Amino acid sequence: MTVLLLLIAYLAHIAFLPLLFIGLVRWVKARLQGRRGPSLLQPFWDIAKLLRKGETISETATSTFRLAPLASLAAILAVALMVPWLGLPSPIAGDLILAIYLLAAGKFCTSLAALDTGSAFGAIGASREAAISVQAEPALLLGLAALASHARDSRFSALLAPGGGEHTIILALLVGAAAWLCAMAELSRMPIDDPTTHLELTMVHEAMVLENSGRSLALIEYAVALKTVLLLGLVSQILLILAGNQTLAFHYVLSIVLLAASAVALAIAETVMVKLSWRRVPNMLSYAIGASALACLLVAMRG
Amino acid sequence: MTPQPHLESNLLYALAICWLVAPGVAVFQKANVDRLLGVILAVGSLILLAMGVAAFAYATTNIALPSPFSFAGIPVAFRFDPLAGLFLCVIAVVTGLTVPYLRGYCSHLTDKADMRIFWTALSALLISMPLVALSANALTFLVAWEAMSLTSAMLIATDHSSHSTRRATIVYLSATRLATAFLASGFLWAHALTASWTFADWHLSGTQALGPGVLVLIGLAVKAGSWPFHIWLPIAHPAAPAPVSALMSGVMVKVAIAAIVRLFVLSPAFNHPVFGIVILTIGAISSVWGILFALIQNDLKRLLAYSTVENVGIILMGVGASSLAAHAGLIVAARIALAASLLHVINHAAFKSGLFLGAGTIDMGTGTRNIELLGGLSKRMKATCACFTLAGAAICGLPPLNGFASEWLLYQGFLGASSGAHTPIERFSFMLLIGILALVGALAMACFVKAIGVAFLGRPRTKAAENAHEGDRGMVASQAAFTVTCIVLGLIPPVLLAVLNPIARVAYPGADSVAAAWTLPTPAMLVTLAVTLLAGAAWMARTKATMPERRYITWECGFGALGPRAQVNGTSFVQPIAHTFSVVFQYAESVSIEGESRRLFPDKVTATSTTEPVLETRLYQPVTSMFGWLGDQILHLQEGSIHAYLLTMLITLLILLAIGGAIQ
Repeated sequence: MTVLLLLIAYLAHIAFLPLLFIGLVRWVKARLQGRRGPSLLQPFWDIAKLLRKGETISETATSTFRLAPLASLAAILAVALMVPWLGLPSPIAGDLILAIYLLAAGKFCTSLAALDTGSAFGAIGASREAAISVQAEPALLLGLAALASHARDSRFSALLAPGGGEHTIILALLVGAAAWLCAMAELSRMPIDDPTTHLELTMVHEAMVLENSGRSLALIEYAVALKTVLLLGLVSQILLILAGNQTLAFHYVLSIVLLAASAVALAIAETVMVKLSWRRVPNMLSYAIGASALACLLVAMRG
Repeated sequence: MTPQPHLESNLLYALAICWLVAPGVAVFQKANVDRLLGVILAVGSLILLAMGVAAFAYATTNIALPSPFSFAGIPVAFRFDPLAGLFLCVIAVVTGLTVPYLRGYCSHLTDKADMRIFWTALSALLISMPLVALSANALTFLVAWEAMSLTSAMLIATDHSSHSTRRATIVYLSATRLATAFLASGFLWAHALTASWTFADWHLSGTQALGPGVLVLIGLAVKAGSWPFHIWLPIAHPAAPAPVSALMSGVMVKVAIAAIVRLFVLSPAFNHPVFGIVILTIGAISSVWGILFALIQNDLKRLLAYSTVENVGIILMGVGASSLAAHAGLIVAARIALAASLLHVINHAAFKSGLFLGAGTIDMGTGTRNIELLGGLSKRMKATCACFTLAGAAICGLPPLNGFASEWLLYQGFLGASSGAHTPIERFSFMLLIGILALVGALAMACFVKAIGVAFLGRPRTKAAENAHEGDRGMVASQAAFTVTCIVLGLIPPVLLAVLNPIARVAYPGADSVAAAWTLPTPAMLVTLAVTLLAGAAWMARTKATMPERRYITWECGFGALGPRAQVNGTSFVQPIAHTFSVVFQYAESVSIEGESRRLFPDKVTATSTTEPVLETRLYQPVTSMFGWLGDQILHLQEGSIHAYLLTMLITLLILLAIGGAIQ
């Protein structure tokens, strides 16, 4: 019964929160830039418009290209039901390794789709996506593994539980920082990539979806939005370890507040920051690996 | 002495007869007998499967062959136990599923090679591999091991008309000589210490175990293809026929791993905590090294060979972690890590054999294995593309396929060891191993996205790729069978763990089953994935009629009709990663621009990147060239001068006398 209620709650949030989040980021950004900005609901109208439009598909593309957006969405959706990103227990008892590997499965599909059209843009995007994953994935997994080793369990319900022990603040901050950096890299957000440009020198995700249009583009945009709230929600949950044992309602409200705060933070970062040169991305991601390794060291020293 | 168990010995004889008939048929029948040979091999693998199941189902039994089969009083003896049973089953299934492939593939070999030798060596390899896994004493082991090494060398040399194949055979043969030399000296040492040839009697521990243990471990590691002895794999596999590569990579290297598990973990013959550390370390280095070099290969079979090095590394990491955890008293983690590596043995056999068969189909269908000359194969080789893509996803460890199950279990083993270990350094090391495994996983995904994307997707880069043709029905059936195995194995890990439990229990006695470690919400995940995919597909199918769809060229900045060379190729796809890890493979790029006004209107732009197989050029090449130099020096003795010969004889005699005197 509880599982069913949780499932409904999660599905309801999955339905509207991702696009609302994207709308909020755009709105705050517009305000910071001195524009009035579109309505918060604009992403919904965009998706609705895309869903009604026909598609232009490359002559080179095969069924891989057609199936990939759906397969990647399915993988991300499964992760969204496994990670307790809303502050409520997740309807499926998720495991951190399964979640990260499912996200990787989604990337596998979109990367192949990008290569399927034979476009150099898509392929370079896929190549960069792979290069970023090579550092971001181990960093995220290692950071969460520090929590899992502390909790002696790799399930999210256990590793995100507020545990006792010294230095929990430092541990949560280190893992949270690593997870935030990895999330920025995985989502192609600043300072790794600017989601609003279409400059081929810089782009990762935007290059990969260059050939997609209509329905498939709608699926991809929605999947990326879902992945955004999912990963940033996970960062919030890591920080919420600090809040200690509280009621579910408190956790839920604080999670939503933190999600909104991360939207504002993203908007500010994208307004004031300059994108990193592509060659310096590995340096930035090594900070994430370093933070994760420090978290592991902390757990190892503490015993 | 246990009574002769009839079932196992009869099966053993039946297998021997069955696989000895095959070369007979091949030699004495001139007509095309491929179909008959296929049936014989299939029957043989069924018998082998029965043997494997029998070894699993009944208690451990020993079989000693009657009197003519013995080495100076030491009988040829076999031991049927669950570990041997597991490997027999893997050999049987891989062989059985490869059989349909052979006929179609061999049709292109007949004009290049003597097929009678091929079939003879193949059946001899197929009988020697199970015998290695079954050997109960060191002498039987060595004989079966030699048979396995030599027959596989003959198989690599099948198409010996080309220079590269002859070189590959020499390299492989020297690797096997090295392995046998180390093994034999290790076994002799162990015999000197225990006065027995039977593995079950060896219980060396402490410093006594170190000497023979290290020698045996090196011998086995060479065959398993572990770093730093892996160099034969990327040379031998491209030369060997694809089904042989599938058997060698899927099965033969695993036979060496079976021996490592038997001698170092399961009722250890050589018991010392150092072995756990050493196996874990070479495993970790192998996995990273193997996948990094796989990433930069453009020859599909070379890439797969390096990926075998990676997977052997993952398996050895599990074996080593298991042994280390057991020494630290963490029985649960030890058992999980052992089960993880055995599960990975099964899984790797499934996807790697399938991938090698796919590479062979491409080789046959296009005449090249270089992915930079391919592209767009998915249109003309649909079935091979689907099988290769799924097997590639499985080897990257993507859920819900089988590779994920064993990698997840290995993560659990590391996590258990890291939270239970007693010293901070141990805890931290086990956590770092988690990071290494994650790094290997991400690199594997980059590697196989590149392999699949450049070979199968996009536009064909050459005429050969454009005119590619699919393999015949048997070849497709074989690949499909391996792919289905990957999917099924991914759905039933709890069952597999329950099956592996007896082995884990032999190593680490205790009550709980390793199946209890499986806590993943697999059914819920599968339902979510299936519901989303089905609903999405239904919606797409329903709206297909109302949605206008236009086919148009790929966007190319308005230049119009850029050629297929404008696509990203294998080298450029991995450039960012190669750049990050440039230290490992001495990656260097150089760009040269020619033309009057070079910057704005270049006539010719050339960009090249170079990599270097560091281990080969910095370690093995100096050693081999030193031997070459020594040989040249010794050659001076043989210049035809009788005085020099007489002097040499005299000096030799004196040295021998001196040695004899010293020993007396």
